[in-house]
Amino acid sequence: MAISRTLVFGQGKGGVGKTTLTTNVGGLAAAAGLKVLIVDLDQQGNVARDLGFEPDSGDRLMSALVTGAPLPILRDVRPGLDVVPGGPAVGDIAGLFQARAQRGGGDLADQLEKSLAAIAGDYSLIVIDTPPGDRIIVEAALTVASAVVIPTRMDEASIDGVSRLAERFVAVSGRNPQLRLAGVVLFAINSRTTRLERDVRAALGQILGDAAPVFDTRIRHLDSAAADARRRGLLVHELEQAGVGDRAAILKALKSGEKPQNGLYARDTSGLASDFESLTRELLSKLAEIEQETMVAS
Amino acid sequence: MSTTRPDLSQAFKGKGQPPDRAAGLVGLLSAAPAKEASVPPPASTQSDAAPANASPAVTVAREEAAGAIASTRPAARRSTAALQTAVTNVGVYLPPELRSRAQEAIRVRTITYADLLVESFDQVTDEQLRAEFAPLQPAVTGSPMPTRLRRRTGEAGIQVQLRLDADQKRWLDGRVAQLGAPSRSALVAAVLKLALLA
Repeated sequence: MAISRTLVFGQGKGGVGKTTLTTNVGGLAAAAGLKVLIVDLDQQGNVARDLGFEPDSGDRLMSALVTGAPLPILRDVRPGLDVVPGGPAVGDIAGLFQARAQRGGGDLADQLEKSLAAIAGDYSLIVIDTPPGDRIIVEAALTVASAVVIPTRMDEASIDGVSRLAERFVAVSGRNPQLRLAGVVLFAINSRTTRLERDVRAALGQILGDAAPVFDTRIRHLDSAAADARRRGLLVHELEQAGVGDRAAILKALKSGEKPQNGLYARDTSGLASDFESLTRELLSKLAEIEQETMVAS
Repeated sequence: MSTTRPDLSQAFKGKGQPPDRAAGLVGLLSAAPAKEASVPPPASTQSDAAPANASPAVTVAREEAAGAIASTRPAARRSTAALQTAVTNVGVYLPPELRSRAQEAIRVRTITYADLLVESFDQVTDEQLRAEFAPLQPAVTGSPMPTRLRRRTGEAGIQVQLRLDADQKRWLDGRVAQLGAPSRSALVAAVLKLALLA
């Protein structure tokens, strides 16, 4: 049931970087020449904030899934990057499909598969952002995906969230035996907590065994960059570029004796941009590996 | 009284242009299989009348097509004709204000940066562009000492990606040489500026 090259970012806990990773990995993959579709299945609809387009109500996505109409696609949000926007109405999808399934109709996973399969050939990579707690939506996403990535912070609650996602993974494995765990990403990590990071990696290694790696790259914690990114609707590598123009504008304002306006909070986002670049490299390599394994096995 | 001071020149220097973060990611995952080989048109497959087995067929077709190319980078197996029509990302740097206007234009009209550039070239003349790249006249003239013409310096910019095929890229580079533009970015920025901001 898996649609090839469909990647889900999932976690049982909120605030662990699912949306940020979805948009930044998707954006970098698109900038590298892949044709990418991001599907926002989260009612928070924060993909819009990350990519700088007008937040959506989610009505069109809900309607498309309920009626079987084509998915609403925002074309060329970035070159090579299209988006199916989510929004508050997405929160109603689970209830509607639960009722439909109880009447003997198809469930959300069936419809999501039909909708994505119709357009999958247009894309090199489909990336799905999921909500933290909605079992029906998360399981539907996992049912159509070929790989899942679990982001986590280093606190115990986040690591518990990894376990909850594992339960969802097991729940769909009968319907989607091709689903693979691509790996776990450590997100928002303070560079000074090396001993804690080592221990968390060890704990995750124990939980996961040889099922999947904890990616070598970890995404560093930088509140100021996170604020800048969503305030300006820029991805982190774009923020890095914007910083150049911003510094020039500040210098220009200072030279003319004016107070610089609307400067970025983050002075240097190159480290964070480098993290996302490295993670995307690891992730794309892992996806190619998974694709090879799946083809050999089938 | 003399004090040895540290060299602070590097500390106050700009960091220059950041690296292209996507450049090292090219080719890690092969491009999607050709659309014709994978799925029927969306309109027919997305209707309620879509066959129930549509998606497994899609999956299998995509995997078969991917399998054909996955062992090497796609470019390695392409024919010359395919290479000429292959679309690649060409990064250019636009000043922030211009980039915002261009971004707004492509969003409102749902076109690409490349489409916008093609349109913009139609709206500007070679004379206008040559004037953009003409050297600056010296600020001080009439002095017995000869003065030199200064080359215009560009502005720091934000990268945008143009999706161009080989012919388009060659034509654009030819125009850079013909018009005396210092770089591809400078030419693209000048064209878009004249079309969008003038």
